[in-house]
Amino acid sequence: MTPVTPSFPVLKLPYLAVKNVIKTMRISSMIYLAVCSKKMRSLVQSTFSKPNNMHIEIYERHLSLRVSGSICFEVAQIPTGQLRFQGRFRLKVCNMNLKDWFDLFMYAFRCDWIELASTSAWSHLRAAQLLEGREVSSLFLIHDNNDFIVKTLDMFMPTKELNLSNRPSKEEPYLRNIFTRNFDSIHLSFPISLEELCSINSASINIDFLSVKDFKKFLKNWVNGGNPRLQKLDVNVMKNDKKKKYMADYLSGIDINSFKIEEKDGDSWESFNIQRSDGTTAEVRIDDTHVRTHFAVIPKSN
Amino acid sequence: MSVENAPVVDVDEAAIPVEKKMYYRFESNDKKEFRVSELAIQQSETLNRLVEAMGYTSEDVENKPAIAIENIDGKTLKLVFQWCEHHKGEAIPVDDGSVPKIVEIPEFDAKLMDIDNGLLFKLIWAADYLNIVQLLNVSCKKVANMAQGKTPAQLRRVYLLPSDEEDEAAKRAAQEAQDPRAREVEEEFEERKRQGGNSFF
Repeated sequence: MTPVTPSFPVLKLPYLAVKNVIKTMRISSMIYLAVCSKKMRSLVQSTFSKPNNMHIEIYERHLSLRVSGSICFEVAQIPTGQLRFQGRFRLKVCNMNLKDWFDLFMYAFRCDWIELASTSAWSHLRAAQLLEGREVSSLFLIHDNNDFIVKTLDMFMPTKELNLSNRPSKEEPYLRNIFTRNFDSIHLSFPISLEELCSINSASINIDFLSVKDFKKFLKNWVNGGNPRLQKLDVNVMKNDKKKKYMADYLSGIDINSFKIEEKDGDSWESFNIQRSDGTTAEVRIDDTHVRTHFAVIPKSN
Repeated sequence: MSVENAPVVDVDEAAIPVEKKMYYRFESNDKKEFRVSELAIQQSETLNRLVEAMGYTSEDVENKPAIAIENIDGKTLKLVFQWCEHHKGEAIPVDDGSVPKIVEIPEFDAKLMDIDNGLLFKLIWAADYLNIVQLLNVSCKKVANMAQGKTPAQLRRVYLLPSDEEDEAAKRAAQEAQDPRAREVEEEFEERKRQGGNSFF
């Protein structure tokens, strides 16, 4: 005789308690619950008080997913039609392929931001099938194969954030057209020219290298109205051996104010403000400890 | 402290505590009376507000009738107050919105909740009604633990979850049940319009 499993009418509990039951479940149980019905999928989604981002890494045989940096799992389709989660448990659900699963995760985990990270073994076709009808918000392209980079950019140009580790090599105005897009943020891990920096139309720019001379020219360009959307720039400005000379190089020929030297918790930095004719002010902060220079527009007080 | 030794006192079963601390009297819907310390009551936002609003003195507590909790029975209320007495003085957790929510069930709570599902169901309703945050957390965690290692088909059976088709059928039935009244309202509205009335009400 089969033992009878005691049942518990969870949906007859008060709404807050139902949410509490789901929130305290393991992620695997939450996923299985979301499979049960549309209503349960919607209840799982309601446990997330704010939208999440879905970070995806696509591999040949599996997906690696991370929801807002905290919920991590891998999903693989194995030949029998079963799906394997995190290599530990398997679930067989008829009529659900990897795309169905991905759509379910996007909905149940309330994800409205897709971060796509390139991997060495992904197929563009597979990624296109998975992301069909969806917008890629962020693209992390850490790859050195130029064909791969260009094809990925062509297929999955992000809407908000671009992170490129290598310069795509293609005839201009290819790169210029990318730089002039209205990204929220762009992170480039390869050297760019001053002209290229001045053409970037993102609100936040993170670049690895720039000479002191070019950085000074950038500041002058900004004072004269360049990079109008820019709110923040982080850059490693190549430092001269002698700090005094470095600072002198920075400051010569720039109209600065509020020069300060500060030290806190073993870190030290110098900062000064620059202003352009419309009254917009930016702070330039030279982090002496971590050898980074931060440029940030100071919000106008109302 | 074991469940049996928790300092909740049924008036029928034990002597009245002779401490200076104030003990409030509550009555369940099946007329069972309980004395609960002021500090224990603080675990329940609902009861805490209630006794604050009533402004009872020690004499009032003795002379006035016990505060009636009309929708909770004695068996459930006894568990609730045992839990409150055991956890009195503990900070009330604040939900930081993280999912999954990490909740550990302490040994005392595990023993207290070693009950059948019917009583556990009532306990969760009571914790929700009385707004006892941590009791709600641990009792819901106990229900969440029932999902461990279960497939979707098993989850449907354990939690009595309707399928999409059943949900649809229930929705249609609810709509149909509402329709006669909706039709009546509509007919009444049309009739008044024919009679030249400007206002429906």
